Amino acid sequence: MARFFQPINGIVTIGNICVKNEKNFRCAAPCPIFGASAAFNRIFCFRAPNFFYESTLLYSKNVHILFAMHAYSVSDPGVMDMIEAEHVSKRYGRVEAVKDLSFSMKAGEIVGLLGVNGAGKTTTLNILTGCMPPTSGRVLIDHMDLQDNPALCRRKIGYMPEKPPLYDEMNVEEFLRFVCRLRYVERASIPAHIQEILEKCGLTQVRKRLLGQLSKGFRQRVNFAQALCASPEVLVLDEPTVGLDPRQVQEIRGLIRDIGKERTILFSSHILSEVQQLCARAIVIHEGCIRCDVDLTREAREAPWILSFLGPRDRVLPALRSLPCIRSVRETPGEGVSVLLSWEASADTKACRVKLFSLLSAMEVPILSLTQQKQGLEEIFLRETQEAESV
Amino acid sequence: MKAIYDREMQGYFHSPIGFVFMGVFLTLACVFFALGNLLPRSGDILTFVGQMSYLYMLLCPVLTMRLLAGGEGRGTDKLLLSSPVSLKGIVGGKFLAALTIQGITTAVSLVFPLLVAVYGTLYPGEMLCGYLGFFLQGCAFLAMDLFVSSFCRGTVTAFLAAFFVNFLVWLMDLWGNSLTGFMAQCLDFLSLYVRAEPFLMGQLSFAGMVYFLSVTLIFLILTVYRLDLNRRRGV
Repeated sequence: MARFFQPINGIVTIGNICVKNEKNFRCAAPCPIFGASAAFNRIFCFRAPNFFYESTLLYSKNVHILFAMHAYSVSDPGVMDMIEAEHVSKRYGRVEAVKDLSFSMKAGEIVGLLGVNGAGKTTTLNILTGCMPPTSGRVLIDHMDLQDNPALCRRKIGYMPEKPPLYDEMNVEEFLRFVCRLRYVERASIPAHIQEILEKCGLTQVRKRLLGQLSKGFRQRVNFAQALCASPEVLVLDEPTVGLDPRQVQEIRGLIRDIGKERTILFSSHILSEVQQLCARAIVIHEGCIRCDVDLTREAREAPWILSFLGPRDRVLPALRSLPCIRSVRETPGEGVSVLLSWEASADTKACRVKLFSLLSAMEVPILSLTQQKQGLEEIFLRETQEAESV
Repeated sequence: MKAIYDREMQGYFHSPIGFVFMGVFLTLACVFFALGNLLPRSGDILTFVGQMSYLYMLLCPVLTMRLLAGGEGRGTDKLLLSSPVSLKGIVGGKFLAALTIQGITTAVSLVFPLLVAVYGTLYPGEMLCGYLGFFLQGCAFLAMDLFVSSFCRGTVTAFLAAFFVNFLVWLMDLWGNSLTGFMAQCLDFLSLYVRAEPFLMGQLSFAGMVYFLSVTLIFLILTVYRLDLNRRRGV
């Protein structure tokens, strides 16, 4: 690690990098460094276009001295890994709750962590949020080791535990103010930040209500709101809709969808439809192991189509097989004559369907239906969890 | 740490705990003062301070019982553990909040020496020494009870466990008084009451100060280790 010692009043200079104020570098939360009167040995991070810097700072009221710096080359900052779990295991006595878990999440992804009760979802999330250390392996948050830089990593994560961590004797606003302070949000910006969160989570009308008097739905919203305090880059949500009525479930899902546009979200659930609705990717975990990592958009794209028609089977099937964009044609039980069609991987499905309609209409074969067979996440989930049990 | 301190302070006064501690402490102190000073017309404030120190046995657990125990039940332990605040900061903030309540109560109890000063003769140096010993002894009790509460899940269990430990410390003191030789020396060394005696005789005991501060620090460090162990075990 190179050492630098070039103090200039209010400015840190390293080579050709100059940090004049907190706007010039990216920090996990509104950074207390420049607001503090005197402190030493804080570590902070910032990003230049192609580098990620981890630095050790000596600072006092007026002079900021950067004395150590580590630069990581980043090929494409837009697709950086935000969370990386490397061979993470967790053991409770003799029970191994999580076994050699490895996965990564890109910035901006929404990933669902699926598993039956007791699969190790909550343990995984607790490890990723720094609530408990892994027995072995390591977790990197925005390229920083969670064990080495716990405070800095935790600033980047907002955690919504399954059980709302609320102090019943506080009101909503007081509680959010406490969480903001806990997460080092600059004091002056706390009121505006809380107002923004209250509006985003639909809590404005209950802001002065005691947490102990709130309904379950509102408590869950406050739980979600506290995870948003300090605008973390990563949100980790543990079963965010559990125990809510259908309307509240829709509201929370709407919130996750909105927030997910600008943040990385990892959430656990055992509700498959929820994961399918919200995520482009799902990780199925069973008995502490990752069973599969499913790209839901690819699964949806590659799912076969079911064509039902009325007409001579022996004339139509060869004609279908002759279409270049069709990879396979397989008969399946259904209305009239039903077949399962798989497109070529490179084919444009819309153009294929147009060709198919043209072909069948030219042959004067009436089409009853053409629908995509959604290979449900449910099937994948059941297959993976049952396979694991049968092994 | 400041955020946790402020929350705990708010917690004491948004629930009956802070008022119960101060109310019971001062009421019993009134009784001691009435029986020991007013009725016999005595200006001996140090004996009164010595009697007040026995109240720690019962009342320190009231302050510490909710600080660490019960967090798991409310789920707030996850909130704190996933925050950027270190375990030292969490323990420090909670301890300082309890210490502040104890400090405020001690400050209010200065009204009794004031009465002595108005209606009799008060020796301020002697009184300050007694009060310093009393406060430091309180620090040690609070740190010890905080450590005990880190083993408990429920607040009632935390109260009973801390009270039991405080009671044992008192029994140990009584037992030490009835013994002689090496065993008595050991028990005297460990006794939180024996160490306060020089202060209650109007002496500024440097050894006593170091002892109480050390005991406080050791229990706070042990609490941090205990919380870290709980965190690792996922308790």
